[in-house]
Formats: sequence, C-alpha cells, structure tokens
Amino acid sequence: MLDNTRNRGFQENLSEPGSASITFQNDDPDLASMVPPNTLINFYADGVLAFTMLAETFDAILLDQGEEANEATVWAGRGHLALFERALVYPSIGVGRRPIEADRAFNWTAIAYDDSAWIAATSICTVFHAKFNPPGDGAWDGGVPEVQWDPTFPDNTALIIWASDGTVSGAGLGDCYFRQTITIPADGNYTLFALIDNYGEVYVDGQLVMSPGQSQALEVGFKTTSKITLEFSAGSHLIAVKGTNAVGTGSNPAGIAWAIFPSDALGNIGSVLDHSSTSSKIVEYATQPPGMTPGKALLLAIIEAQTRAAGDALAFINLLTVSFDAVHDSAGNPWPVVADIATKVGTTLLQFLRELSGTYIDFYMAPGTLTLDCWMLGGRGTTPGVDYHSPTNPNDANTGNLLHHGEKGEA
Amino acid sequence: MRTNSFLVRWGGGWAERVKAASVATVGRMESLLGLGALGSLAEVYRVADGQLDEFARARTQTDVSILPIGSGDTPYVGVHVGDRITVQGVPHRVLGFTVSEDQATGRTLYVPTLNDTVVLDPIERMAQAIAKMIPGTLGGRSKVAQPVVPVAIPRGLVSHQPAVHSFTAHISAGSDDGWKTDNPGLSWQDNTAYLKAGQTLPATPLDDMADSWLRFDMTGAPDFTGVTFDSVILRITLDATQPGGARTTFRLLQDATPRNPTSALDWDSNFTAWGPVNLQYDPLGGSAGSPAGVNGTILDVYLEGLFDYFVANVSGTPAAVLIGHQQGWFGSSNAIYYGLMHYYASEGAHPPELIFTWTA
Repeated sequence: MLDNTRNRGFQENLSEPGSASITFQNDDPDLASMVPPNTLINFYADGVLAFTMLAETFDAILLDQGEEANEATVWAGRGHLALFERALVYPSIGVGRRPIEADRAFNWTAIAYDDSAWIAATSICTVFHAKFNPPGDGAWDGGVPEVQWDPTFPDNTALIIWASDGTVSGAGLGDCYFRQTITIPADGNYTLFALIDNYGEVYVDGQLVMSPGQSQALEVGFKTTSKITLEFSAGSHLIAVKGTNAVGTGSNPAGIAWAIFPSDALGNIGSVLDHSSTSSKIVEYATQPPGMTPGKALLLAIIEAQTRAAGDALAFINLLTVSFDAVHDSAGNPWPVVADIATKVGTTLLQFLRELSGTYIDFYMAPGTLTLDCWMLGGRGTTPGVDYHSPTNPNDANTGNLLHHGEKGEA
Repeated sequence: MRTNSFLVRWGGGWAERVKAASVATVGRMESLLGLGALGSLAEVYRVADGQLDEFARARTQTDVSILPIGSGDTPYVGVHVGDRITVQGVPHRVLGFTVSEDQATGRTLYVPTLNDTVVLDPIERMAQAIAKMIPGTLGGRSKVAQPVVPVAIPRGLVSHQPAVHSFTAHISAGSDDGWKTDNPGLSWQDNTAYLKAGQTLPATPLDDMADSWLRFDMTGAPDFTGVTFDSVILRITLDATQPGGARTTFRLLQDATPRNPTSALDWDSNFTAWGPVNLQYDPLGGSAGSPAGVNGTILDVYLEGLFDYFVANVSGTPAAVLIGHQQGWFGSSNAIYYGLMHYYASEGAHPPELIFTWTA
C-alpha cells in the first residue's frame, strides 16, 4: 500500500492503455520499490481495483526552496496494456527472407493461413492450348485471335486451372482463390509470369505483386503477360492468386496460369522452376475472400512473439494469458471470419490491437492481471441500468447524482 | 467538420468511397483515409464504409460530472468502461473514466467520458482516426498523458470516500425475535418487499409496531483497513406516530460480526458491549404516551456518534450496523421508515462529509 503518496489519478479509456500518475515524497521509503522497467502499480477507486499503471517515466524534484513539501517524485505511465508495445508483428517466417515482407497479411494470402479445407484446383488445359487454340476447340478456340492467350507467355506446360465447373468453353461467374506452395532452391532473382482470364491479383508470401487485367478494362488479363522479378530466399514460398470471371456466360471460360523462372536482375530467364498445377488449392466462387477471425490473427501474432521470447522468464509476453480463442471472443460469442486483416511488419502488438479496435474488436486487460480480453467490436460492457440525472426532488439535492451536464459538438 | 467522401489509399492503389445520403444533404466533403496493407478492394470498401458511418455525422461530446449515490452508479462498482448507461434518460456508452483525488479531502472524483472522446478540429480528428487505421509503429514512445483534473464539486455535496460498496439488509422476521418485550402477539409484516427496498419499512397496516430491527451488513472496500470514521448520522423518518403510544427509541449499534439479535438482552447488553456505538434517541420524551403534536408529522431522527468499527474491520470482511426500534404506536395507515439514509464521516478538523446516501 502506497499510503504516503498523493496526487493519485488515472484515466481509463475504451480499447486504449489510458494513463496514470502518482506522487511520492522523496523521503518516502516506498519510492525505493519503483524499479523500472517492470513496475506495475494498482490503483483502487473507493477500494475497488480499477487500473494498473506501468511505471514508465519519472519527474523528480531533488532540491527546492519549499524543502520537503516540494521535493517529490512523480511517476507516470500508461495502463499496463502498454506492455504490448514490447512485442512486434514479425515477418511471417522470421527475418532474412526474400521477398521482403513489408505487410503482414492475416488472410488467405498468408503463409500461415490454414488451407487444409480447400480442395484441389481443376486443370482446364495447358497454356499452349489456349495460346494456339485450334479451330473448333471451345471458346479459346476457333483460331480467333481475340480469345487467344498471350503467345509470349514463356511456359507452354503451365496448366490453366480453375474451379471444378470450368472447361475450355465455359465457367461460372465470380471469384476463385488459389494457393500453391513452391520451393526455391537457392537465394537469387526469380521472375514470375501470370495470366488470368478475366482478371485478378497475384500475391507472393502475402504481398500483392501483380494485378493482371486490372488496368485493362477488367477483361483481358490473359492477353498480356504480367511479370515481376523478385529476390527470393531459399525455401518454401506461397503463390496466391485471386481470379475473377467477370464477363461470362456458358460460352465464356475462365482460368489462371503462372510460372516462375530463375533469372537475372533484368528478368532474363533460365529454365522453368515451377508453374500453376493441380497441386494448387482452391476456394470456388466465394462471395468474400477467405479470411480468418480477429482472434486467430491476434493469437498468431502473440504466439509468434512468445516463441521468439522462449525461455525468457522476464518477458511480459510469456506471462500473458488470453480469455479468447481463434473461434470465440471473451464473452463466448463466435468471432466473425474477417476477409482481410493486415498490418505493417514491425507494428507493435499494441498498435495492432488498436488497429483491430478500429473495425473489429474491443480489448481490455483487467487491472492486476495479465489476461487479455477481446470481444467483438462493441462487445465490452453491459447495460447496468444506470442513469445519471438531476435531482428528482428539487428540495433534496441527494435525489440526483449528476452535478454537471454539458454538450458541445460540430456542425 | 464532418466527412462524407474518402480518398482511400490501400495496398492496391487508390480507391474512393462516398456516402451518398450525406453528400445529398450537406454537400461533398473529402478526406484522406489510409488503409495501408489491406489487399482486397471489397474489404477496403467495407472498412471505409464503416468509417464513413462514423465520420459523416456531426460529432458531439458530452461532459458530465457525477456524484454517485450508491454502489449501483459508482464507477468500477456498478458501472464500468464499455457499459451502456443513460444521462438524463439519453443513452450513452461509457468510453472512459477519469479518476482522481481531491487533495483537500481525499475523496475520489469521477468524470465519465461519453459519446465521442473529444471534439477535435478536423485535421486532428482525422489524424486520430488514421492513427488507428494506418498500420505502423508510433515512431517512438508516445507522450504519457496526465489524467485530466475533473471539474470541482461544490462543497456540501461530497463524493463518498471510501464507500461501502455492498449493503445487504436484513430485517427482523418471524413472530418473536426476542426483542418484543411488549405485545409479543404482534409480528412484522411480510418482509419480502422490505428486503428489496432496503431503506424503507412501511408498517401498513400496523397499530402497534412492536420492537423491530434492521440490520445492514456492510462489505467494506479493501482500503477500509485502518480507516476510522468518527461520526455517523442515521436518519429515521417517522410518519405520523399515534398519540398515546409507548416510548419510541431508536438505537444504532454496531457488531463486528453480522448476526441477528436473538434475545431481549441483545438490545441492552450484548450489542452495546461490542463497541462504543450505542446511539439512542427518544423523540417522545422517553415516557409512555405521545404528545399529540407528533401525530401527522414527519419526524427525522438523527443519531450521531462515534463509529469506528471499520478500524477493526479487515479487508472485505462484512460488519453489521443494527438499527433498533423499541415499540411504538402508529396510526393504522401510517408508516415508519428507517434505514441508513445518510452516512457521514469526519476526520480531524474537516467538517462532516456525506460519504453515503441511499435513495428511495
């Protein structure tokens, strides 16, 4: 009990760390217990544990003409949610990898995404077939130049893949999502080529690298080959593609194809390393991009931080527990599956929480605990039936509990 | 200034989202929204539309300062951050509490934050919003804000400190609890409603209200340990006592261990032996028979005296306050109301301060 302190106060805000401060006389022996950087101070409001401050800064007056009365030390800090600034969102599979992961995606393009429920993509035909379609062989046929795929695409053996209803002459309308893991044998430059009928997006390790057809009236992502040369580090990488069949009927086919080659920095390629195939997994015609829950995204970031701090008994992240899981929030309500959670690599976990609170979650860490509570946005709190009101009896001020009520606003 | 048209920067480039209904009403007002790493245009639209719902309206800030009456409306006891409450009947969500101490009295002051956190100028407001929306580190430690000092609370209306935050009322029940030295055939009415009301004990219909008692079990807050309250005032309201009634005496007793009185001796001996509190007030002069003037009036009885049992009351341990009434005559349609209506404390040179009040 810090009985001799004064000027104690705190400010708790919804889904924010808040702040607090407390003043010690310099001759207060309790001042010696303030050992940065891991000192937490509990604040009680009328006896109820209400706030925990992480002691972060001090302001000491060591000598003053007012002598002991003014010789005091103010310790201030944010709420202990600020501890989440001690861990960052890292690149998906650690540092040192290429391509450099500037953005960390927590969605279907993420390496860590669980695609075990996805099905295998369907092979429609080879790129060679669509490039040089013979007359009478479906929509990519007839020798009609308008529907032939780009003849400059460098890999004739790459498969055009699509949903299970796809053929060379027709497919359904909508968005299909593909994931395929490739293995890069050695660090170096590699060039990725892609074609999509009608258009779409290509991601490498969660990073958007190409948008075939997006700038070409949205229909002709198969007419001009998109390509990009990237540095790859050796090891496993993920090629994720969103394909959209936007203009179609029963006589309008759809498909995606890509191929990756070792190359020099200028894009001069060697032999094909890998290409689109039926080892790709697919979600067919999804109404929204496959995603993950906010709880899953948070747990991924937290678990990764705990893994990095393994064996460190002082690390806050190893003392942390959570009251939610990947499926349910802290109130037991099922999380929504969110299509697209992403943040910059290097974001602190606190900032990641704050970003999520802008659209998805309420978060809180009860004072005196290191347990993170997360609810769906708006989920924290109850409706206790409290009304702050002016006195109901004008002759008895004690029949009201509201002393001041003002409003200001903007036009 | 509100905003109804976003130029959105996202992982795939630029996008635009417009809230048409607002534009039609107030005209186009553009702002920048950075969504950084989002990779799906559909998700960009969803997030941007959510922000437009927030920023296309005129924002208001509600400033209130409160004087909690009981545990139910006391921050961190009956109401918490995130809760939905009303102010003058208008719904709000509690976005925060600022809690500080009055250095003169040591009392706890609460200022809720309601509605929008603050009405900022447009640039600052957008910066605040984008700070949540744009991924990225803070680029260094943020300045630690000092808690805001709440508005002053007028003297005489003093917030409780530290409050008893849990009261459980028990009243005498059954036929003869041992206190009924007179008219033992009479008994209390059904007590169910009284337990709910807590502070009022209407004795209707009742001609001769026999001895009765009301016990409050108080669960003290943890920092009650070592705290001394040296003055307590109990308010009792008599509504129209009957002329000719017997002596009416009220006593405030204390007991370190909550219990019911079990015999008549409790009134005069056992409970008074527990501590210095044995407050007595006889509004009718201590003799049988009431002056007619009392009839038809409401009489407030204030019992005041030393009250220091919390000194011995350790953290979280309930203690009891017993209010006793020793028989009186009342009109058949009249009532006696009694309970711990107000609860004062004083320390040193400070004047008594109301630290607890109970509302009807």
